[in-house]
Amino acid sequence: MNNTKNQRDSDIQKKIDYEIRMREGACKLLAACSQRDQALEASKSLLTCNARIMAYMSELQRMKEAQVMQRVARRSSDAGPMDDRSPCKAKVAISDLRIPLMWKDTEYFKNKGELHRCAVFCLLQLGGEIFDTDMVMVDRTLTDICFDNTIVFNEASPGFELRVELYSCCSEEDYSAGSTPRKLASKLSTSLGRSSGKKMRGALEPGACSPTSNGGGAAILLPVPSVPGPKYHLLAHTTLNLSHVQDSFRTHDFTITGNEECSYWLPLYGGVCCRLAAQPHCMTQQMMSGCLRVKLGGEPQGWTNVYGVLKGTNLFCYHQKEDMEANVEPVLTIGINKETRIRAAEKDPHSKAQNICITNQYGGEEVMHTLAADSREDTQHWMEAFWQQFYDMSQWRQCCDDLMKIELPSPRKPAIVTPKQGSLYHEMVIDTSDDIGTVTDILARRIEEFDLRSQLGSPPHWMSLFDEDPPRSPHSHQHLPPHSPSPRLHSRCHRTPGLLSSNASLTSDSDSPTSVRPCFRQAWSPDSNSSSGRFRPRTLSLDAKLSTLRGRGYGGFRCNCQPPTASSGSPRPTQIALSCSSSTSSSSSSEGSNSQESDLGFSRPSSARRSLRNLRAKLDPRNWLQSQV
Amino acid sequence: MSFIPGHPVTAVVQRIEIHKLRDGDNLILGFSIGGGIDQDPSQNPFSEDKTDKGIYVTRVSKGGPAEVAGLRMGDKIMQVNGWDMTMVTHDQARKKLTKKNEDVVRLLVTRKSLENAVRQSMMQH
Repeated sequence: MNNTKNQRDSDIQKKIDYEIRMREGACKLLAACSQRDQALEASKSLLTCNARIMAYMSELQRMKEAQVMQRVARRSSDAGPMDDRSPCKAKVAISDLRIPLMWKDTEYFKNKGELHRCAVFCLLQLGGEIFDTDMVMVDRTLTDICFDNTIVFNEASPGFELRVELYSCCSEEDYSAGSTPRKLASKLSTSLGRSSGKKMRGALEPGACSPTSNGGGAAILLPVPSVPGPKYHLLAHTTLNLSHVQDSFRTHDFTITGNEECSYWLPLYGGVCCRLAAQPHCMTQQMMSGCLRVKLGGEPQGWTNVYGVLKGTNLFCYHQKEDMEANVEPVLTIGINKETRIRAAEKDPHSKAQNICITNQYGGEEVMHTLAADSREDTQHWMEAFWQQFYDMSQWRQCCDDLMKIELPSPRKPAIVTPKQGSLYHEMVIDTSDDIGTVTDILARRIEEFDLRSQLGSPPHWMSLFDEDPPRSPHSHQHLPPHSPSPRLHSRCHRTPGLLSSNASLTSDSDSPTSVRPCFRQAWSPDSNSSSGRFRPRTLSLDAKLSTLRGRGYGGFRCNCQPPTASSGSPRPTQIALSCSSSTSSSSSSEGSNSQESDLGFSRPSSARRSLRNLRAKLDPRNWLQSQV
Repeated sequence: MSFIPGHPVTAVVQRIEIHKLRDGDNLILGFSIGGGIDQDPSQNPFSEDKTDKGIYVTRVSKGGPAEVAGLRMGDKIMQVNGWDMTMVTHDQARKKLTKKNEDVVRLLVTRKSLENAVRQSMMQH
């Protein structure tokens, strides 16, 4: 007994030492770093280390107290009920934290000044474990603060309390306020403007902003040694327990500390959404296993030997132990849940052991199973296991109805960096209605069209203009009608490059920006020397295919270009090219030639590419034009 | 919704008011159009009548101003801010939608489901 205690002591001591070393490292880093981001991260680690040290120290304290109490109890020989049943532990996971914000409209419309930004993160504590989430920068373009981390706490008891705290730090200007002497600081704050003065004052006096600081539950925070750099302040907190556990998202109240005057203030809506799931060990682990005999069928004397495994809400009976390991279906599954009644019967005087009768209600019917163990001790063990199971279920309540899924974040997943948690309108998702079927249909039709065109005979007479360029080395996308969307002058550059459709065709364009392209030519002169090989539809990777097609929209990769009317003789392709490169192409409509811009508006602006694409679009008569507005 | 050239067109329309979204210098509506009297109508995947050269909505950006206003893919645009869209070229249609000094476009659009709904409610009487 003493040995395990000492073991636990030294464990905690080791942890404390480790955290102290981490804290020193964080302090040094904070003093040394120059960039704001680094300073914020270092400050966050410092805060977490402090919190952990605090938690470990209080745990040590508790253990020492418990030791003392035990010694006292033993001395007075006041043996309490020794067979107190203790419920099993559980794995508790909190994920998908989302904190809605409620910006005032004045923030958007009147606030022409700098963007008020804060760095926030969440600190989660359960028992002795403390975890922090990643840091998120919040400004008024965000509608919610989202933390993608999944935090898993092992070994939680049914009476657990999970404390969630939101810390924030203003990140606009560099208030190295720690170093400013107080008199100077107060002079500054009164002589500055009202709002910036408030901010200065807020930064200087971290405690002053929260009138209810440390009023209720003590914050996890240790008094921080004065370290230069950004300081986080507690913005809101809440405590979750077993009653909040559910297999879906729920909103909980968030108690907000701090007010509008503080520099680290954010307009929280007052709730926090998250998914809090718990997996008690009784649901995930085998609580009891052993050989049993079961009465199957209707025969009164027919006993079958099975290997029973008690796990979760079921008692699985396999033919033999190896079946269970091989994941073979059990012979019999008896439900063990809150409605089950289990009784040990003394009915059989012949056998050495008692019978165990398990009664379940299936629908309106009562079904009874009779089991027997090999010996009296086994029976006793099984009954004990069943009682423990029932006790666990009563303690863990809703967690034992069904196994809740906990997804462990895979450590190898690279962090998906979103450049900016944009607002709703910054993410225009491309229609994903194109499925594989549509893709292959469209591709097949394309191939047919090419075949058709190749039989058309000589290329149009204006093709001679493009003859001077030597055929290019084949890119893999040449056969596709290269109408990557031509951007308009006011192109929408904010679309993230990842969504760009026509990366495939864009790469082929990038090489010779100035001349009108022979890859275009290949679409048109199938009987030119070297093109026959290129005419064969290359197999693009499906991703490239889908992305090119997606960007072009439904059927949209048929640019329409009406062939220049016969009456106008040889059209002036160079002029067309010129007029295309300016997007206000109203002039060309008066020319009689059509200046449709097959305009799906995604790609990076490049006047040469634009002219090229417009040209292609114009000269293909079978396309149905689509324009983005 | 079939139309006979030279005869007046009747259709059940829905009014849709789209507030353009300002993105820097650009005004975005968030959808794409196809069609026009200068286009090949047989390639229009949304039209019932394959000789219909009207302007159709071919794509609606998710979450964009058009979707928010109620525009759906496959709608045929009959009017934009009072200008007729049933007999225009593709470029003319695009221009009527993208006037820089207009923040709001009021469309009259028609779709098959509207017609069906009205027909059904009329049949019940």
